[in-house]
Parts: sequence; C-alpha cells; structure tokens
Amino acid sequence: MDEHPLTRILSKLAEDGIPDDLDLRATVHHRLETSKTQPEKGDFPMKASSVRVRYIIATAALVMTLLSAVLLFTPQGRAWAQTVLGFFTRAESDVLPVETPVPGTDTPDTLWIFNLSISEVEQQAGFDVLEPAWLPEGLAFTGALYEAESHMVRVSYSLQDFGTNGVNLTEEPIPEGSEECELCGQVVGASALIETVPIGDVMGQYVPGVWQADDAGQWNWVSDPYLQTLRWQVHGMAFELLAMAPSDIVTKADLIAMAESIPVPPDAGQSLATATAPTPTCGSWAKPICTLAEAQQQVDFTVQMLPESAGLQLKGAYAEPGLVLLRYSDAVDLFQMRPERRGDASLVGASAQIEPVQIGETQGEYVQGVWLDSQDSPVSEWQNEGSQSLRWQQNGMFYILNAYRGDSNKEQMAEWASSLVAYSASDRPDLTHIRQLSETEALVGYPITPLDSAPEGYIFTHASIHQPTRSVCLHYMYDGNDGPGPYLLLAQGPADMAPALIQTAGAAPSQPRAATIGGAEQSYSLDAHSWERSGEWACTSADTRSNYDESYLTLTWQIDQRQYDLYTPVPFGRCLFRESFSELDLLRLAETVTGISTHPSDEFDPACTQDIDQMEAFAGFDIKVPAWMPDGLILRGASSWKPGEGVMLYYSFPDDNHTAVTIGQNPIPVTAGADLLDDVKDVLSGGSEKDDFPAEGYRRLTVNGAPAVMILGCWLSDENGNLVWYQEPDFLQTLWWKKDGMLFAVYGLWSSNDGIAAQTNLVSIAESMR
Amino acid sequence: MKEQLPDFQAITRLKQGDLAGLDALIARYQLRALRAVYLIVRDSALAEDIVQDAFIRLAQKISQFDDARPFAPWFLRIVLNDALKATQRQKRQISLDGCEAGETAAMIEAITDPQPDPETLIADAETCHEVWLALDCLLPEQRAVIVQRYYLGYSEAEMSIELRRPPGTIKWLLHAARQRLRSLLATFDPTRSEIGVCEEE
Repeated sequence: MDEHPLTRILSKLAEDGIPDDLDLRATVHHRLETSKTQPEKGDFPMKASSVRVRYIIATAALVMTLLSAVLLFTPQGRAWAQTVLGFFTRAESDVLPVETPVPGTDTPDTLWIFNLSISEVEQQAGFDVLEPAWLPEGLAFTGALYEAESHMVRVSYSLQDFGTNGVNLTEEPIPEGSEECELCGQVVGASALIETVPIGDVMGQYVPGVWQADDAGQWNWVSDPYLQTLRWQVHGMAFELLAMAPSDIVTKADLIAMAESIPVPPDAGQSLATATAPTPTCGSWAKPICTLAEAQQQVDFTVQMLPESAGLQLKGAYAEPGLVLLRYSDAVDLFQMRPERRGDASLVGASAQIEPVQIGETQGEYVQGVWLDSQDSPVSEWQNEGSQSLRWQQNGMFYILNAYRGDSNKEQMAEWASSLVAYSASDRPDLTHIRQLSETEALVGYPITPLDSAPEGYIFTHASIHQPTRSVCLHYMYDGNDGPGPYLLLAQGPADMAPALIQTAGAAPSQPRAATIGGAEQSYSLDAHSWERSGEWACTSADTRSNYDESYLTLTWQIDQRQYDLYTPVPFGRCLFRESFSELDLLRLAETVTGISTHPSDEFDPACTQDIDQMEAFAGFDIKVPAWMPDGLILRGASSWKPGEGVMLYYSFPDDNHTAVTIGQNPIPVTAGADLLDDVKDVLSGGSEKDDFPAEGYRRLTVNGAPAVMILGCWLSDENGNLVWYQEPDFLQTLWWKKDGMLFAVYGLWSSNDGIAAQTNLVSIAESMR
Repeated sequence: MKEQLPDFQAITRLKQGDLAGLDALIARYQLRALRAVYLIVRDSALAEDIVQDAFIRLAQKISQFDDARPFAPWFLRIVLNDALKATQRQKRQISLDGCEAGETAAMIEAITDPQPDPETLIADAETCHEVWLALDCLLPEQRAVIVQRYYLGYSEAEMSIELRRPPGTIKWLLHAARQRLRSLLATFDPTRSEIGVCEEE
C-alpha cells in the first residue's frame, strides 16, 4: 500500500525528535513507587465507598472470569465440564489451545460487582445464602452478587489489611434429580496437585493453581499457590471457596476450616430446588419502566415521591434491593437508597460550590455541576454548570434529587425535598403509569385491546388513562437505542367520547386516505403532522402525553364503537431505520388489534422491499441493480413512493443502521440536447435553492461512455439560514448520469463508512449497472 | 518475554497489581505515544512528561478500563488529549511570521499527491524541515488531526469514533489543517531558523 508522503515525513520528524532507545519504564516505576496518590475529587461529608474496595472487587472478578473462561470458551473445557463427575478433572496436558475468544478480550456483559448485602442477594436468588461462621484472620465481608443465569451466589471476603483479594465463596443449588451444576466440575492441568480432603462428613477436593494464557494463544496450567480452590457438595448444595491471596496468609487449612464452619441444613438442597427467584424487571437506570407499586415491592423501605405541587409527571421507576429511582418529567430524578448503596454518588469536583440547604429538620447539600468525559479518560473533569443536585439524609435513608435541565433552582428543589410523600398501596392509582392491562381495564371499565405482540425491538412500557374520556394510551418503546424511545403509542376509548379529528395548525392541507384494516370501520391513514384530535384524549392529554411530543397520528380506525389511534414518529420504512414503520407495517399492527388479518406476510411493501421484480412492476420501469459493490455492503431494500416515480436502492453493512450507498433512478423527460447538469439542478434545487453549482463543486466524467457529472458537495443552511455550498472529499458525492430516459444517481455519504464514498467506488458501482 | 505479553494479558496482570503488565504496555506503546505527542507539543521533554503521566494514571486507574475495548486507540486518545491540554497551557502564540515567502511548489505537489511520481518525491532534508516549521504554524487541534490521520494512520471513521466527534467535524478539521498546511508550505520562508529535525537524514 502506498504511503502518503506526509506520513513518511511525519515519521521522520518524530523519529528524530524521539530516538528509538528512549525507555520510560524505569522512570514510570520510580514515579509510581514514590508517588502518593492525591485525591483528585472533592467529596461530600457523606463520603462514598472506597476505590480500593472496588479495585479489589474488580480484580477478583477478573480472576474469576479468567478461571471460568477456560470452561466456557474452550471446546475441551465445555466437553469435559459436561462429562466429568469429580470436582476437578485433569486435562491430558497442562496446555490447552485457545480456539475461541481469549479471556480478557471478551469480558462478560456484566462485570462482577459484589455490591449486595446477604439479605439483598437472598432476595434476588430466592434461597438462603449460607455463610461461614469462621473466617481467617484479616478477612472481612465485602459484598455479594447473584448470577441469574447460573443461579449462583458469590460472596466476597477481602483481605483489607493486605490490599489484596481474599476469598470468594460460591454457592449453587443442585437441581433435584440432576447431577449437573456449574460447580460440579472443573478442568485443571495434568500436573495439577489435586487433593481429596474431608470437610465435616463429606469429602471435597482442593487444588492450587490457575490456567494462564500465553503469547502462543494457549492456556497453560500453573500450580501457583496464590490461587487455591476448594470444592465440595453437601445436602444438594455445591460450594466453592476460591482463595486469591498469598498461600501463607490464606492457607489450605484455613479454607477447610472456613468450609466446615458453614452450617448446611439437611433440607437445604431440597428447598433450593424448589426455590424460585422471579425478579421483576424495572428496566434500567436509563430506561426506568416500573410503577411505584412495583418499585415498592423491590425494596424494604417506603418509597417516597415528589409532591403533586411539583407539577411533575412520573415517567417511570427503577428499583433494585436498597435503591429506588423515580424519573419525572422535565428531566428530574429522585434517588432514594440505603446509605450503604450510595456508592460514589456523593463525589463532586474539588472546585464544586457546595451549599448547605435546609430540608425540613435536616440539612442537605446542593451543588451544581457535572463530571464530564468519564469514559474518554481515566480522569473525569468536573464542570461547575449544568445539572443540579440536592443530597440529604433523613430517617436512615440517603436521597439525591437531580435536575438535569436549567429551569429548576435550589429553592424549588429544597421545597420539593422537604415535602416528599410516602407511597401507599392504598393511594389512588397513578393513572399516568399503569403496568398491568388488567389493572387498566378495571380502572376504565372495559376490555383493553393491546397489540397482539409488540413490534420487533419494541417493548410495552405502561398504560396511561385520560379519565374524562375514559380513553387509554398504551406506550410501546423501541429498546434498541441508547436512550429511551422512539415510542409507538396506541390510543383507544369509547368512540362517542373521542374528540373530532382536525387539521393541525400550519400543516399543509391533506385528506385522510382510506385504509384497509380488517374488521375496522372508518379506517384512515393520515399524513404526518397533519391531523390531531380537537380536544384532550388518550396519548395527547396532560395525563397521558408523556411520550407524545415525539409522535404523531398516523392511523385511525373504529371497531365496535371503540375509537383507536396509532401514533409513531418514524413512519418511513425499515430500509431507512430499523425502528421505522411503513404504512403497511402500521396496517398490520392495527390488524393485530382487530384480530382480522387482510394483509398477508408476502404483501408487497413499496416502502421497503427486497423483491426487485415486484418493485419493477410497481415502478413501471426496469430497475438497474449494480453488479459490483464495495466489500461488505448488502442490499437493504428498495423503496418507492408512487408508481412511475423514482426508486431508491439502499446498501449498508449488515449491522449498520446507516445507509452507506444509495442508488436512485428516476424516469425523467429528457430534453433533447439538454445538458445533464441542468437536469441535476432541476432535481436538486427544485427551483427553491441556488441554481448553480460552484465551478469547483462538480466535475464531468463518463459512465460507460455516457456523459456523467460528479457533484462534490451540497447546499446546506448555515446558522443564519443562508444556503452555503458544503464540499468535503468523501462527505457527500453524487454521481449522476442519464441513459434511456432515466436519470441515475449514486449517492455516497461518508456516515460511518470511510472510503466507501470514494469517487472511484461510485464510478465502479455506476459502471456495473449495465 | 514480558514485553511480548498481549495487551489483554498485560492489562489483566496490571489489574491484578502486577507491574509487569504495565511494563509490557509501556514497551509496546511508548514510542508511538511519545512521537505522536512530540509532533503536537514539539518539545521532546514535555512529550516525555505527558506520556509518563499517562502511563502512571493508567496504572492507577486501570480498573476503569473496559476490557472489551481495544487498548491502543483508547490510550493514544488519552495522550493526545493530554498533549492538546499541554499546548493550551503553554499558550503558544501561533504566529505566521516567517511563513509568508518562498516557493516550494514541488513539495506541495508531492505532499498533497497520495501517489507521487518516485522521481519527484521529496526525500530530502529540506522538505522535512519545512514541514516541521509549517506544522508549528498550525493550531494544536489541527496538528492533532494531522498526526492522527497521517502519523498514527487512523481512518476518518476511526478518528470520529475515538474523538467522539461527528465525522463531519473530523473532516472539517482535517480539511482545514490540510488547507492550512498547504498554504503555509506554498508561502514558506526557507530562511526562517528552527531546528532542522530531518537534517541528519
């Protein structure tokens, strides 16, 4: 590959300035040994958990991951794990080839964080966690975690004084009648020193050592006594003690003594086998979807709410043992947690202005600012603007009230904090946020008809009720993006109480189009942003509109005196965005409500289809498909608006939401002798933009001998609304040419696909469309 | 040999408190990091300080590193950001003095042509010297994108991801930097005195 001259020159300059023999290792070591870590962040008096504990926990998790990865990721490991019955089985050698992702490069989605108390982990696991009555000197309980997939509980005991890991205790119920469990077998190296040891009335096995990966991509068993494992089973329970500590600090005898001190009741296994651990999902911190009632069920304290006087609408709750988050409208969050769960929530920048604030009879602290770029750098930077945070402790609980937008203020937040309202199950139901359809039905007094199944990628989050019209809004959220939404909203209610449809103010005139929805009457498709209900109704009223601002009415129908409206902000086709719906998609969704399907799965959808033959029939002209595309690009689909009008072909990488290359082909009246550039101007400017391209904005060339023009930029509006020509190599380049009464265009947009839009690629694509 | 440890293994060891892991990472990345930083801050001692600091912070904060991400771009982004901050602290005055006369048309053509004719390639010391001086006339951010694109070899898409900036912004920065470099080289004053870093070549 040719090296750019500038690359070569920069390399020379850099090599001259920094010689090859420069080595920082000794200096870095020296500075590390002599430096004393200075705190980089200020903190509230209510200080958070120590970084060291988290370091230890993270380290422990990593070692554990490394160990389990041998079994999980190597074929041999998996096979042996399924067939061996002993606690440890020797491999045929001390070397295992690594044929699949190497541990350390394939971290589990969830890092093991031991942040639960025993009671909290029991609540999650659904069984009693058995604790050792005796611990080696220096070991102290750090925390516990529950692994739902393997139904195991891990409890961490760290060696606080030595700043090292300590011992992890893992417990797993063995299902009744089964001989399989995660802790039932482990492959160790051929040279592993396996010892059978008595643990009370049963026998266990002890082995020191660990698998370590080498540069050759192999696992090597090393009998390193820093890692010691003891496994045993008793009364239907499998146990493992994993010591990660110098062997003279935690000895084999210590592990055995620790194991023997764990009291295991005779019926432990039996009760565990029948234990269930249904953990209601509350979404995530980013997407809290629980109701207050559900959140209350998750915690052992009374959930507190903001007062009605705050005028904020609850958008959803998140809860896990010891912690509740209530998310309100206007970007306000109320956290409430047991003090031990507050983590690093109290840390603020050293420059933060911490102001005391009176909250009832207690004093809280207010600060404005935010940590920035925590993911970009090992050091986050505090900025004294942006989010406001009020924190206080009251009645054994720790609270954080965050306002992420600038329209709140300290006094207002203090007032809200001073008048929190305890949730009560006997409270009037929150009509803005109901999770159960049965509860919704009971409140409105008629059966609710949801979508038969949520569209791919969407989840049902909640229902909300507009009481005056007894109408209901069902909220479905697309779950495939980082943030919440977009939403698909389904409104329904008594037809005689639904306000009339009216044209949206300022919208271009348009008429509802009759739609075919099986079993429905008065079914119409509506142009985006064009129509709305003339009064308050489901999905649009103050009580129900929490997700409406991003949506608009696209489909409306009646059935059995019931009015239904379907709202979506993404009424395109899945060729463009995965979360989008074509009109046909929406009609099919509506039919999952009516229960009568008239749109078969193979019905042609001009908004996005991979059937080029059908698209040709629809469009009324032959579609040219390129015979060549840059590697990796696949046809996502073709779309067209109306018969006889243009067709677009979309190409993208398989997992990319972005279209990398788009090909347009439009039948046009070709004026004899007209210049191609004039046709392109007609298409692009539409008479409303600038008429001419700058001289440097295009170049002429040929496509298979036919005149063509490469437009090298586009007109964009600047901040003042003036059109300016924007031209950058690879930003947006479009190759236009005419042939046989058709105007063709290959669009290359840089998006995330650097290089795809290269002019040579566009020409190659065009020339392959013979 | 320890310095041959793969990144993931070095990071794992470092997370376990084993400084051999850090050694492996230093050995592998120090020169690349030092040279990239040097091209931005233009001071080898300062470059050493910046990269040393980055490795020390790495050792202290390694627990925050997400193992699922590749190490090199993450670390290089940190040191480049630090280099930019350092240039801001230096409050270097960007002066065009001394860059306003002269003709180096052949060099401009060669530098801006990705596939120059070997006969016209500018492999001489004078070109390096001029580029070095011209780089000094760029804004630090412009130097940084030039370094990333042409020294570290990032694609624009990678730069967009690593810098967490929209591709359009990256393209604009690169475009502006290239244009600036080009115009500076076109009006280069060969009499301007600076260290001739390529003269030994």
